[in-house]
Formats: sequence, C-alpha cells, structure tokens
Amino acid sequence: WKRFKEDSADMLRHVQLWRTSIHEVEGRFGNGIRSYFAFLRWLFILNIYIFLLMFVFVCVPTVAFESLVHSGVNISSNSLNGNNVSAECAYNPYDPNAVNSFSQYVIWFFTGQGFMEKTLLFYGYYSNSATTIFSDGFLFYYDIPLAYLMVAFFYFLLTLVLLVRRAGAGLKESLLSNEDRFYTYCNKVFCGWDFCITDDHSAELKHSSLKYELQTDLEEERIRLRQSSRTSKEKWILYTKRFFINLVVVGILVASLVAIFYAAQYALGNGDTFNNNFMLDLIVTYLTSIVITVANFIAPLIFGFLIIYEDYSPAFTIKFTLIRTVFLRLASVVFLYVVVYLQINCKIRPNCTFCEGVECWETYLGQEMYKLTIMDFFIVLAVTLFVEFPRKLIVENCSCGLAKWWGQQEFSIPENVLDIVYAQTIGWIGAFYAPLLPVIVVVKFFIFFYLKKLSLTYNCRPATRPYRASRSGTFFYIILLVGFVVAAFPVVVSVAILEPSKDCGPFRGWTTMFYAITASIQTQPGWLQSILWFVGSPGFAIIIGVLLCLALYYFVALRTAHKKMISLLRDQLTLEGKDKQFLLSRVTKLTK
Amino acid sequence: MGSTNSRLSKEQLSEYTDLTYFTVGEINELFKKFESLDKQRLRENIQNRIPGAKLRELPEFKHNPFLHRLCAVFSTSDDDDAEDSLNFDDFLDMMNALSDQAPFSLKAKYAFQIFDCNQNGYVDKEDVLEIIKHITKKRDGIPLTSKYLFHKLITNVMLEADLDQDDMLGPAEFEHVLSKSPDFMSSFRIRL
Repeated sequence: WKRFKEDSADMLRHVQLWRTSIHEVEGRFGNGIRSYFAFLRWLFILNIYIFLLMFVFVCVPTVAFESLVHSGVNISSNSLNGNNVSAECAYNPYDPNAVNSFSQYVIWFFTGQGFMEKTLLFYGYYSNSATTIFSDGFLFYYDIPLAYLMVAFFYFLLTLVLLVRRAGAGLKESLLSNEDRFYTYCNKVFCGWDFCITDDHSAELKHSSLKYELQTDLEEERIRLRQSSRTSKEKWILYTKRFFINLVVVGILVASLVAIFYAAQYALGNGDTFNNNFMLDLIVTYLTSIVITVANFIAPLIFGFLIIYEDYSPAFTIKFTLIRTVFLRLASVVFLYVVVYLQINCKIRPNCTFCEGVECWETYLGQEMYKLTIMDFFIVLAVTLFVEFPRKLIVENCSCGLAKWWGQQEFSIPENVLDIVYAQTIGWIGAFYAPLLPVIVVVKFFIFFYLKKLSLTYNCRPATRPYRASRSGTFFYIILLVGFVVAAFPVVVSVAILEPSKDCGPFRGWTTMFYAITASIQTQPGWLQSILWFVGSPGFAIIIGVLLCLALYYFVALRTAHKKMISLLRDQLTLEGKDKQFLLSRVTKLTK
Repeated sequence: MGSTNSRLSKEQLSEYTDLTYFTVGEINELFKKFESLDKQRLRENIQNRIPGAKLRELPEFKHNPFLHRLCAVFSTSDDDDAEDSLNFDDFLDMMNALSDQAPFSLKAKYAFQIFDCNQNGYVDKEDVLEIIKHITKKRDGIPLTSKYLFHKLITNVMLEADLDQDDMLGPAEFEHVLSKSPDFMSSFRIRL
C-alpha cells in the first residue's frame, strides 16, 4: 500500500503541467525564475477552477434553459420580482436589426460594448429568473440570481483557502530558515545530491542549481556582513538618501492616480464624440486603460533605477521594488473602481432613476476590466516581441557604445511577477461582472507561459547577481493575497451595499444584490432560518473574533517559548562538547 | 514475482530476504542488474567480484559523483589490486543501505564513511572540500567561482556542524547534523 501511494505521488508529479519546462528553466537560470514559472502555473490552474465553477453553475443553465424553452419541455421561467421598467427607461445597448459597419463591430469587440453586451460575457445578459422544469412528476427548480451569487462566493472562498494554504506553508518554511545556523549549508553540502538522478540532463541541471544555491547563500552573507559594518556617518548619508527617494516615489504615485482620475472622467464623458473616426473612438474608450498601463510601465523603471542608490541587499531590493510597484498597480485599479462609483452616483435622469451614460454599471465595470485585461496582454506581447528580441539582435551584432551600455536582457523577476499578479487581480474583480473573463485570463496565462519561456531562452542571460528566491516564492503568494483582498473588498461592498441596475443582470429590481440570499432564506423552514439569522448576526461575529484572538495569542506564546528552548538546548550542546573534550584530554593525561 | 529462472538458490534467497529489507522479487531484479555488468565472470562463480568502475554502466550510478566512495566503503575485498571491487553480497549491502526502508541510523552510519574521503575516521575540512568539488563539478571542471568562496563555505559548514570545535566532524556530530537536515532521507536513496 505504501508503495502504491509513493508510486501514485511519483506519477502525479510526472503528469504535472509543464513539469519538464520548469525543470529546464530551473537548471539554467536558478531557483528564482523557476518559482516565477511555478507561480504562473498555479494561477493558471486556479483560473481554470474559477472558470469551471462559473461555467457549470451559471452559464450552462442560462443557455440550457433558453434552448429548452424552444424545445417544448414543460419549463417556466419567472422573473423573481415584479418591477418591470417602463419602455422609455429600458436599457437596450444593441439593436440587432440596425445596420452597422464592420469597423463598428471591431470596436465593439475590443471595448465590450454593443453586440458584446448581449453575450454571456457580461453581467447584463443574465436574467433574474428562477426556472422550474416539470418532467414525469419530477420537479427541478433553479434560481439563477442565487446561483450567481453563491458561485461568486464559492470561488472567492476557494481562492482564499488555496492561497492561504500556499502562503502559510511557505511562510512557515521561510520563518524556519531565517533561524540562525539552521544547518542550511550542511544540508546543501551533505544532502544536496539526489542519488536517484539517472538522466544526463538532470545531472547537469542538479550540478548547476547546487552551484547557484551555494553561491547565492555566500553572496547574501557577504552583503549582510558589509551592511553591519557601516560607520555612523555612512548610515546618516544613506538614510537621508533613502528619505528623499521615498518622497519621489510617493510623488510619482500621486501623479499617476491623478492622471487616471482625469482620464476616466474624460472617457466617460466623451464616449461618442468621434463617431466618424473609428481609431479615435477606440482610443477614447481605452483611455483609462492606456493611462493605467503607461503609468504601470514607466513607474517600475524609475523605481528600479532609484533603488540602486538605496543600497539594500539583493533579496530586500527585490522585495522593496515589488512592494512599491504592487502599491502603484493595485492603487490604480482601486482608484478606477472609486472613479466609476463616483460616476454612477451622478445626476439622475428624471423618471428613470439611473444615470446618464451608465445605465448598466455592472456591465460598464465588467467592460473596463475586460479592456484592461486585453490592453495588458497586448502591451506585454508587444514589449516582448518588439523590445526584447531586437535588443538581443542589436547587442549581439553591433558593438557600438549604446549596445554595450544597454547590455543583454536579464529576466527581471519583480516586474514579471507584478504583471501576473496585476492580471489576476483584474481577473478576480472582473470575474464577478463578466463571468467569462476567467477564460480570457486562462488563455492569456497560457500564452504568457510560452512567450516568457521563449523570451527567457533566447534573449536573457543568467543573472549576474544570484539571489535567494525560495523566500521570494512565498513572497509572491503573499503579494497575491494582498491583490486578492484588494479585489475581493470592492466586490463584497458592491454586493452588500450598492443598488443593482434596474434593467439588466440577475439582480435587477432588488435593493441590493445580497437580497437574493435573504429572499431564498425566507423560503426555508423556520429552524434553518433562525440558525442562519444567528450566524449572520453581529453577536456571532464577535464570538468568532474573540476565539480567533485567543488562538492567535496562544500560538504566539508557544512560539516564543519554543524559541527560548531552542537557544537553551543549543548552548547545552556546545557545553557538552567542551566537556567531552576536557574529559578526553584528562584521560589521555592520566593514561600517560 | 517468479523466481524460477533465477540463478540464486532458494536458501540463498531466503538468507538474503532475512538479512536485508528487500523482497524476493527485488533481490532477483538486483541480481539481474548486477549480472548484466559482466555475465561471463558471474557464470564462473557467483561470488566473483566486479570492479567498481564497471558499475558506472548502470543508469543509477552513471551520474553519481560519489560512486568511487560507495565502492570503497562497501567493498569487502582483501585484494590490494582490486580495492573497490564488489561481489553480489557487497552490492546487495550497498543497495540495502540506500533503499527506502533503511532506517536513519543505518544510512547515517554509511553516509559518514562515504563522506570521509581521506579515511581518517573523521569528516574534516579536506573531506568537505572534496564533497563540494564533487557536487558542483561541471563539464569544464570549474567549480565555485573563487577560492575565497570555497574557504568561506567550508568555514560555514564547520561552524554549523562542529560542536566541540575541533575542526573535524566525528560520527556523533555528523549524525546529529544529518538528523537536522530535512533532505537527507529523500536524497540518500536509490529507488529500483
């Protein structure tokens, strides 16, 4: 039985997606870059799960019920609330009978307006009906709004659980290995070589990766030594430098946010002004995305340039650049959200109680996320193809000063990780308002993997400064967790507080989206209702909160105690060793 | 696993299964592997020895940088000319120590002997240097980038492991270090 378990674990490892590619990358470029690709793979699989959930429980029923209606099965769909909007206020983004030019269709495809709004891609398409099917005395009841909300809840929960597990496991490991004298060197030297290696290629890879790891460890230690030996004067100069650089960084952040604000305002106000010129129209609708992407593109370059003057250790440099860029990117997405919110609370059209220009705000938000995703994808594609490949050609073939100064491309881990965290955050926000967005993200990541790998193999050289990246691996997941919180929070707020649009989507007519759940709870038996009400009440939350705090305190106390114990025992070991030496020398003396 | 066409007798097989962690089938598999190195010699006498260098033909040992140390440790040859030649008993012994079921203490004991390259009974700085050279060698023979790094690495290893600070690792210290290393059990083994 044990053998079977081992064999199946082995087989699963073999079957793991992209295993060979990642192994190759590890051998040639080291652990850090490998963790990037492993991260990408993890996100890819996560998005597949999200997509499957959404697809099976929301998209398939919608399509199935519609087609069943036409095929004569005894099926009835009833709108869950009777509030029908009057004709003049009805929201109709697309008239299938009107004749539109081909360029108009292309614009609509890229901006998600027009005919795209009438597809499964956006929130607005889904109906707010509950369907009942009678078939041979068997009753099947399916409530689409409830399904929509529950699925969203589930995939957020699933993501959170998986993410916390990953980040937590890595955190535990990294905390342990932060312990002084944890035998890292001995572990690598004595147990580094895996005796099971039979393959030529693997052996080469193992040799190089061991070499890289040892070099990295030593390099980090050297830097730590240098840092601790700084004089007082040097420290003062360094700190003032760091202070000013941080000011500059904050300034850049604020400037980008302001730019995004104005761009969003302009884009919303002037959606149709350039009707005759199709390119300008496209640019205006994409204006917000363009500004965000440009800011995200330039700022990291500046940050990377500045951080050299701050003289941190390589591991910390990566982390800090990451933190800054993360902050910028996520802040820009959240800011966009805020801007849209401000826009939907604008002047109310008389008689219809919703805004001019944003009749279906959920779809509008979905469209913005869709545009951001597409823009991000094209930018990365463009940069890789039109900057990295030519760079390699120029540097190899031309020996002019410029080429020497520019140098060969090095794979910059922080930037690339940020790219995918950013894409994923957009994906999470967008998944609620555009249910098929995860598919687009899946395809995007798939293409990214091969694109990046190709670019890596042909354009980049191995890092000149090897850096420890096992801790970076955990760090990526923590950054992703931050992105997740940034993505989940607005969605949760909108579900609980904001009023859904009157004429589109599965929640039309209700006061909040959350009402779908309350309405269905009210149809449950009494005892279940009272349990659920209790679970939702503040009292229960307080109890859980207090219990969690107690558990946390307990674990922190345990940890401090263990730490003390470890240092005590270690001292004891050294003393014992000295004792033994002393006794041995006495014995030799006495026997002489 | 049928043992009808094995050249080992029933008594031998039962003896082997008693003394090692292997099953009858696994022992037969191992014998086949061993035999494939030099069928002629083994046909003459089953206890004949095969020089250690020949073991490199087996896929499991082709890339192992510690092969000559393994052979030296497990060889029971009295002959000075063929110091690291193994007969089937030695081979089985070696695979036994490297098998999945072997307990930690057995592996640690043999690991100590294997890593003691200069055979002075301790794992000292020279030995550590040898080990590092073995595990990081590349085709062009250039190990870590500078002598300074080598020296630093050895110092660090000694700092971590040498408890009585005599610049050498005795068996107890070595075993202690191995017990604290998470990768030891999973890397110091050969799967059939």
